[in-house]
Amino acid sequence: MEKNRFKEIAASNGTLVILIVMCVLVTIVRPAFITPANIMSILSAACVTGCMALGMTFVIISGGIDLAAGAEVAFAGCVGAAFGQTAEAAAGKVIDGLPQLPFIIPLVITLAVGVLVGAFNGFLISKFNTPPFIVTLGMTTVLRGATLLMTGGEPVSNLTPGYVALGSNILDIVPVAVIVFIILIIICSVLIRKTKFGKDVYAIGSNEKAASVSGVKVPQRKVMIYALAGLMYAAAGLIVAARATSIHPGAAQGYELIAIASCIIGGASPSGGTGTIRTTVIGALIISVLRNGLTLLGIESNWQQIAVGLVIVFACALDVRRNSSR
Amino acid sequence: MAEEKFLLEMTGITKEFPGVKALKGVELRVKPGEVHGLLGENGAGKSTMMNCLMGIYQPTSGKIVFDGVERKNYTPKESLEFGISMIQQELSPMQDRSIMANIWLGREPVNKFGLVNWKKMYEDTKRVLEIIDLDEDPKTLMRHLTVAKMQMVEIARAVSYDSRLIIMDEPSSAITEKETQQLFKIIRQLKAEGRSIIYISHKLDEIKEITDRVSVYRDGSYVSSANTDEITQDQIIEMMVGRSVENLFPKVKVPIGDVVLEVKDLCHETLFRNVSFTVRKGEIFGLNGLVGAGRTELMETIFGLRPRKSGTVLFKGKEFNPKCGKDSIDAGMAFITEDRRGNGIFPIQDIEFNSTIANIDTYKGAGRLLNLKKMQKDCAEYIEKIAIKTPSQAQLIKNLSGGNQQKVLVARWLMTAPDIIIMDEPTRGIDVGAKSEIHRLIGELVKEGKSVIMISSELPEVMGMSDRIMVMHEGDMMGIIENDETVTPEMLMELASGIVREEQ
Amino acid sequence: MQEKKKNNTLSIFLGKYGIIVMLLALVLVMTILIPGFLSLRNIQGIFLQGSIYGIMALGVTFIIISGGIDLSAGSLVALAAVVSTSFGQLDTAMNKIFPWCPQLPIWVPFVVALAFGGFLGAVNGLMISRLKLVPWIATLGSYYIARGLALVITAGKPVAQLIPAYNTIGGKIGILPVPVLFFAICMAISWILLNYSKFGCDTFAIGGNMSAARVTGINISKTTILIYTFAGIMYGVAAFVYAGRVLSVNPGAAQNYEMSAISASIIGGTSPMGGKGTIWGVLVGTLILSVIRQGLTLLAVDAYWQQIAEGAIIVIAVIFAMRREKAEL
Repeated sequence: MEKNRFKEIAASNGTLVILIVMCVLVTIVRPAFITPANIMSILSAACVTGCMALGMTFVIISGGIDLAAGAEVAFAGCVGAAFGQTAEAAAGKVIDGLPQLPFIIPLVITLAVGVLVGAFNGFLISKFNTPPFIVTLGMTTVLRGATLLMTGGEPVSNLTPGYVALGSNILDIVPVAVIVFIILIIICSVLIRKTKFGKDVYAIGSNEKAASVSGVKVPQRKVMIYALAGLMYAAAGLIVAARATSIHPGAAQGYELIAIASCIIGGASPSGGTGTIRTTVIGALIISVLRNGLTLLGIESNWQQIAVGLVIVFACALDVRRNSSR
Repeated sequence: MAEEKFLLEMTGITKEFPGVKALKGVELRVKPGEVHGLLGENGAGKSTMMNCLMGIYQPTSGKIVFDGVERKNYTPKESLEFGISMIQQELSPMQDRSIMANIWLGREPVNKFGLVNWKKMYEDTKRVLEIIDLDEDPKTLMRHLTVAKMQMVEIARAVSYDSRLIIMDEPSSAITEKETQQLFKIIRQLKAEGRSIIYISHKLDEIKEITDRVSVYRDGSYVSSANTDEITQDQIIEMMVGRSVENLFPKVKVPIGDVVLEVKDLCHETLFRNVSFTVRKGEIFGLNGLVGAGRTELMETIFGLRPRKSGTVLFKGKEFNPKCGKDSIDAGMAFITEDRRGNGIFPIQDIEFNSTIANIDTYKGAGRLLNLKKMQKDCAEYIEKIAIKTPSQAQLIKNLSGGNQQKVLVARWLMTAPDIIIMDEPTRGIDVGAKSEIHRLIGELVKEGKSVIMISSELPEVMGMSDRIMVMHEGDMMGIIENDETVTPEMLMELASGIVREEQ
Repeated sequence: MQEKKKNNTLSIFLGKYGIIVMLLALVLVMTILIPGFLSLRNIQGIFLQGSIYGIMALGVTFIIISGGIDLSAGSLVALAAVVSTSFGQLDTAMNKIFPWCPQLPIWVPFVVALAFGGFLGAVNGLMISRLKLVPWIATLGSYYIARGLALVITAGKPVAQLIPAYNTIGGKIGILPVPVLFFAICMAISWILLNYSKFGCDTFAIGGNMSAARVTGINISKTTILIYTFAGIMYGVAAFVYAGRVLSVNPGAAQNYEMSAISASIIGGTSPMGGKGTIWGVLVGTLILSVIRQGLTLLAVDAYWQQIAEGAIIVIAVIFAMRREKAEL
């Protein structure tokens, strides 16, 4: 009996078990892993791609994909940061002569830009019924080009104290960004579990035609899904800018893969209809632990990129097997 | 009697799918050079039987003898090679490839360098097209052909395989009368060459005209075979329908009220024309017709899933012009679709999700958050009320039987508290027990004063349940008849096949 | 259905030659805007510009016709270029990737590029057909893995000081740039394969009607692997030619080339839903992209604007392709 129960718990929390096993293994090899400072650095490292993964979870559950996520982070982050530069940043100012504005303005602008860009992606996908991966791939280039154009290829730096505060730590140990991440996790989790919008996302991803017969306004919902994802990417953009009090137009390159990987490791199916916020967060932590562990073991970052690529392929292959065995 | 020689003998064929026994010891014997009609209502097992014959399904048990040799465990490719071809009802050619590329797919002729010999293919194609009298350039893209011509290309393909037996599944469902005559000409010619044809159709007049013998199936079982000229249409219908109509579907008598839904001269761009009818409170309005009659499309248009060309709909006295499913649901209309997997269930979601999704709006509580407890409670209530057999409401719907899936869908739509419920083939593909429960449910619904539009191909069902019956044929309304003792299956069949039209 | 006569001559004509009309119109506009647009030098430039992603587009076209997609094309080109040029460095080169490797004749890196490119393609094909991964996910994974491998192999530094023969690969014979010659040869081979081989017919069958393909006994898994392998070989050729053009291969090379290749293919009439596409279309699509790029450069349009234009082109091309699809149904 005991054994069966354990099996059951392990099966329904497979990703959590993997996370714990990984932590234990790394701790055995490198005890420094388990120090509070290192744990915070893992959480902190998970913030940016984690926020992106939250948005991506909605997109993937609805049966879509957003390859423009990384470019959206940079675009929203840079546009917002342009309004968040200090008055003294005379040399590298994006908008000449703009006075120093309260933090609320760049904050709102960043988020609004994220929502608008996301909504536009959603519009292109739902209105013209185009394959999401090609459209968002094209949008990646458009957004990167626009970001470069706006910034002249230079980082947007000398950001206001509001950014500095967002990038700082509380009590010298807990990063503000982690708190923001946790708040977003709670919001997204409530959205997907406890609202009509959340139910509609699952409905669209598991059977789009049935969804529209059952009264789901599919095109409108798709725009909202990508817009919400855009909002999460923008939040990630804020964090990126805050951490370094500067954001580069090439920021977050390739982060979309890590976000997608987090969702899929967490059990979201690339064919839509499944996934939860909880498991996506675990997926994001798994990747963060993997990278941290590899770094502690002295493995260079290029290998880490390869490792993430392999993990995504592996996770998808597992998903396919899981689906066919049912 | 002398031993008869058969080209094909299938005996004792059974086929089981998880939860369903689709074929129960069915047989089929086809003589060389005969056109053999295969008859039965939807779900009688004709298609499953043909898929077993083609090697697309492996029968669970039974024996297939073709051309004197017992054939076992073969692939569709092998069946093509030993001489059986099938022309599917839903043609799906490679639209952007030429006629010849479609005909010789998978066995393109090659020259001595191993390159595809288009010249030879062209010549060969011309030859087979001549055989079946199709005047088209072999290089024409399939996209540019009419459905009838695509069908001819499929026949040409069968001829090119030198098939001894050609299966035609509802070949006349999407083509015109004139094209059907052309098809018959080819069939006679193929027959004269000694080939056999299995002709599946619902249209009895065609069956009488073209076939030599018929076999009738019902509910996955074999009923009997007969020579076509020794049997009347009525006898065929009787074999198909089988049981006596009255006692199987006890009709509940409820008082009929005022008009709820009024449809006036509704037209679609292509699929149906000038449809007018009314549905009254407490009424079961039956809608019958053959495949391709436009019944489902009509209902989808009324429900707002397809654009209408012209005409008006009045629902509860008000002009009704929904733009999407949501509008109709809010107005008090429900639609249980025919294609359960295609646009009914959300397979990878649980029963609770599947039953509450159309009614989600009513669970919004404080801060627009959903009252999950109430959703659970309501779902549990309906599981109880309409006897859905499941271990728990967290069960994924794809793990339920067809009948129980259908009940979950009924629950989904009842939760929206509709005034009128459209049910498209509500009992297709579900077992007898679940069937009668669905019928009982329909009876209860009208007792509560709701109205039901029931699309059904099953004559006993339509005749047993409905107060009035509308029959459609290829997009035209053939008539609406009061369902009393004078109505016979033959009357409906004749209307549905377009032989006669009820005078208004 | 049957009343809809589909034999509309004008629509057939436009469907067949619409993109050529578009190309000619573009050239006309550019010629009016830019004096000397039709000079020999500029025409050479247009073809040269297009040859590398044109070669890639040939491979991508096979994949899209079969109903798949390859997001990894650019990364595979970079990896194949890095690996193959490692066998084409001068004996005296600093930073040799393989210090033990003697100076080799040019055909060695050529063969390595093709073989390795083919191998990488085959890995994509295996992931899709055997592991049953969705094409975009499998190739997205290999996009990152291949780029990471290129960085690991080179330690992030360019592979430079190549043997002189590479100059010829990037040079000209008479008025004909050698990369264009490679493009032409690859086109000829692709054209024969697509139109005159069973492999080509099977490719159409898989994308046009998978179930019909299975019923007629086509080995779908094997054909899928072959399709991606062939595409990989094309990427190998592109990698080889690329090395000849730049003479120093950066591990970050060919970034976003997959987009140009996919754009060229779809502009050229390949259906994003599979089952349809031509080699001539690829040529025209490639030229359209090239003319736009060359034109924007000559008009001194900011590089960043060009990048935006490029992304917009693929989005617009897909939207049009989907509308075309819908109109034809």
